[in-house]
Amino acid sequence: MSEKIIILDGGMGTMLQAEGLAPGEHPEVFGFHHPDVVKNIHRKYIDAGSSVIYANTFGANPRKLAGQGIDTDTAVRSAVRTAKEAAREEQEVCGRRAAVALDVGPIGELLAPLGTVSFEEAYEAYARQMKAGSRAGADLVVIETFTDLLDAKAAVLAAKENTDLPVWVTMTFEESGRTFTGTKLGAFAMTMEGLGADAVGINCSLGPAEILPLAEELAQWTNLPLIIKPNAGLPDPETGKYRLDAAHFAQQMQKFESLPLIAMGGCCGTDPEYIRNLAHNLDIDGIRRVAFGENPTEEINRGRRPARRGICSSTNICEFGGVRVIGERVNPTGKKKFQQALLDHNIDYICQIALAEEEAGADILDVNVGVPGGDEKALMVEVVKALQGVVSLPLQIDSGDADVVAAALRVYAGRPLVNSVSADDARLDAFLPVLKKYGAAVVGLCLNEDGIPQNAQGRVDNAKYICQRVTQAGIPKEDILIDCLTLTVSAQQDQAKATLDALQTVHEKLGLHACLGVSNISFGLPARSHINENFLVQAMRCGLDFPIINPNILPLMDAVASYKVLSGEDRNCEAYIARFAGRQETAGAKPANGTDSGAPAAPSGPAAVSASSASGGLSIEDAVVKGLKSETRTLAEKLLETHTEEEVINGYLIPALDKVGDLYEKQVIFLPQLISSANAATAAFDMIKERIAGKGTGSVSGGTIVICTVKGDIHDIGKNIVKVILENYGFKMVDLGRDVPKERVVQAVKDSGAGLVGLSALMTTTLPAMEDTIRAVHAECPGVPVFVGGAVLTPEYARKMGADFYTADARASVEVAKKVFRQ
Amino acid sequence: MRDAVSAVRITEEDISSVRLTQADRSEILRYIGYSGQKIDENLAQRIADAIAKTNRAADPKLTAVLYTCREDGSWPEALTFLTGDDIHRHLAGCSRILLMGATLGAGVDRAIHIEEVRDAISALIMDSAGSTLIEAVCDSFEAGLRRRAAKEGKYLTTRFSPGYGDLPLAVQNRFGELIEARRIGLTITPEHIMIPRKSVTAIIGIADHPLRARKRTCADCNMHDSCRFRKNGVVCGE
Repeated sequence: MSEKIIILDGGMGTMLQAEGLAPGEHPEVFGFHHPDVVKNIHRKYIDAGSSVIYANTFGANPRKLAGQGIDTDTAVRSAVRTAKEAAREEQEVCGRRAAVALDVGPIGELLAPLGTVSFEEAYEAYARQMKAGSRAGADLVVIETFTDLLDAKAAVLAAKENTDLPVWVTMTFEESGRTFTGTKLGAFAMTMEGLGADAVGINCSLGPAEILPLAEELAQWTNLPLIIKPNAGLPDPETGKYRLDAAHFAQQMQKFESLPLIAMGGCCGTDPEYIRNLAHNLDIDGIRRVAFGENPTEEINRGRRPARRGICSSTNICEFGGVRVIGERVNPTGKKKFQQALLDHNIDYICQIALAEEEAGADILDVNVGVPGGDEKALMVEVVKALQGVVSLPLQIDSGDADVVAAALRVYAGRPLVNSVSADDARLDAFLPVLKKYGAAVVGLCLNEDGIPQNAQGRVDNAKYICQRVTQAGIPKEDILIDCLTLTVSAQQDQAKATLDALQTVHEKLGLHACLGVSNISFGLPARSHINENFLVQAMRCGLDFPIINPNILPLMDAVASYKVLSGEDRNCEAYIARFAGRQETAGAKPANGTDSGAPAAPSGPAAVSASSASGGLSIEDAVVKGLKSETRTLAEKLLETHTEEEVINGYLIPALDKVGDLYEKQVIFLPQLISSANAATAAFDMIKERIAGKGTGSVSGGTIVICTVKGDIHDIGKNIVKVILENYGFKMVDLGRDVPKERVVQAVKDSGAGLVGLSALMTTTLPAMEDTIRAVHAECPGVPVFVGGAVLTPEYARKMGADFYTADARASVEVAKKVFRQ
Repeated sequence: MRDAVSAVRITEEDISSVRLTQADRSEILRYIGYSGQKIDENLAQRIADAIAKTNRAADPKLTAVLYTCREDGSWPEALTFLTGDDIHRHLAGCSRILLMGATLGAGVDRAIHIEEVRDAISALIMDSAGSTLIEAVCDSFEAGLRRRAAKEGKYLTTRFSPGYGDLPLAVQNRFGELIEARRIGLTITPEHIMIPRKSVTAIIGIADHPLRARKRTCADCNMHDSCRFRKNGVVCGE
């Protein structure tokens, strides 16, 4: 344990309850009306030995105080003043001045995509609390009891951007080492260190004994000093009372002595007696309490390096030290369908590609959204937000624009990689402050203003320069990945060797990580997979630890798995054996190199049976009714040999779907089967759409429909089903997702020229939002009718709200759409 | 007047290991309107996958607070926010009132969300599997409670949730604060929606004498006009 330990205070809630706080009453409101009660509690803690007391501001954010008759400014001002008075009065008694922390608890709701609060709204709420705390004269900011990393990040940014105070952050973990929302200890530590927090730690939920192993793990991931504020043990299941008494609490806290602690105190169930025991009975050589303000952070920090390092999302850590695959598929370059998906904000498509990469075994996902005609910054934020709700892998933000990168880093829940800087001063000047502020790791390309050096030495020099500039900016060397640049071997044959030589030097002499896009090497050659694999293996041998590849290409991933065995990284070949268990090795060739179908992996299962079974007298109607995807597609292709696209759609697909709808109404089939048929028809529709797009002779779209779940509501299963079914009837669907404000609906209708709007709400409490949205659409987009659906709706209520149509189910929405677009 | 001493937090029934089994298949299907249609191999496999994924993602947690009514049978001050005739009828004659909250955790929401992106059918089944599992969690807790009550010669009402009958959904937020829902990672939005989604809050009454069985019927349900079960020609089973 460090020489200097700051003793914090103990629980506030239970103390207040004993003094008259009613169950469910807001402590801030109570404290505002009874400042003397709160002051007295503070004084007891200082008297017991606390050097830092937490002001009664835990829930004083504007969202929690809404409707409580007191605003954030008032609550914070009053609570900090009360704490400062307590500190001053107690100083007169004991001669020791306690510091006052602005206590900031979580917003109380989950952030999107799990919940409905946006990152930006959370930030605004915290910013008000921070400004008020700073004005009121708090000595430091303590952000505590958080369970969502993104929520905690919003609070830390709000503190750092609106105050000059030290920022301490503690989150609440389960014994599993994760928070309720899945945040890992290491992810918390790395992210907070990157953001410039002054100390991190663990509070609440568990007792000291349960927290000890968690704190030990936390210390491996950061060189920041730790704060430990446990509960008084675990609650007794019979009575709900905490089981650890003050003496045993102190005894258990003693066991933290080997950790780099800056501060300790108590959380739920602890009172001044516990703090007195901590302050006076801890028997550790050299411990002495310190007055706040000597900057103990720096002192504890000196000379420590975290044992483990990496990048992370909130739920997944990619630890450095070994080969880690960066998936390259989330990138529109050369992919028409991906580009269109970005322009259409069809983010599900992009999420599907990312999911496929995760399943294929990538460790990190590169994210690039640069497309002509697209707003890169807005798209990057949209895609990053969506991706982090779906894939758990850490992301690599890929853009040449520092503004775009900054916007993405801001909303990212974790510590990402950034791709990329180069040895170009202008680029470094723009990127480095952004990287430093958000604590990202970075890829450095070995090129400069003059282009790519044609020899290894030139590239190594650029790597050196990048390393020098990046470390000068305060970013540790361990966070740099150097890209020695792959050139096409068929065009510049000697360059392959230059790349590998540079790689070896960067790895061995400079001691830096290396990444490399691999597949470019074989451009223009036949049978590219052989060159790609061979180059990949040689590069790894030269020190490449972050290959950037398409993880869906099995031979490349197999090569990585094999390399890890030979390099010794895969201990006892366990991963290798697991990977190939049950795999049938065929003598023939593997799937071709880099074939770019652009399509995400289809869901497996019997629905995806091979096309060869499509023959055998099956009609296209049967195929649709049975939900057979590839058969439907194949049969449609066959029909196109003798029919026009129009004829296939109107003469075969639509009647088949109508039959399915009919069977559904008669309850011969039920919902999953209805969707399955719809998906089968989609396979044929998509093929036909592509053909028409290829010919450039107009489109098959039967009309555009904007659809979403209204503001405040997050139930979207029903809405998604309606979307799938309508899509299958050839309507172009603009899906805005869930929890959508009316302004976005109106904007989307105007942007897309939609002729119909579909709104969904599942809760009685979100019907007013639905009504508002209907009104807004009618006012701003005259002539565009609105249909509504959702469990709580009735035809009468729909009419009352002003909806043009009520739809009981997905099937009914088809009738509405047909009617509207036939007019 | 305060009744701080009348509230006891209890967590004694360990429900953390409750999971779905193949026996829950029919319940999962019922949520999505199944009424005897033929289930092919593909769909059967999807249901099995949904059960497995839900079981992996679930981290069930439960918290409950037990209130003791006053000598004269009136409710403690803390519970007066529970308004409406129905909840009073439901709890008539009870000497103690238990408020509970349970959740499957954020992992299940995330797993469903992934399926939404990938495959609408699986998403639908996962959603249904989640609903089935959270009910099973509550049932397990209630069963334990009932066993113990029986030993002590006490009697339990059925579970009654905010939004039932004329107990407004809007009490949800206050309810969450009382049971300290945050301790199980359960939050409630300003629109009174529980997040994580697969969560339940409910009230159970405990009486010293047998309670007249009060069977809830579709007629007194506030979901009467819009019930997804009725829409599909089945009932919710309560």
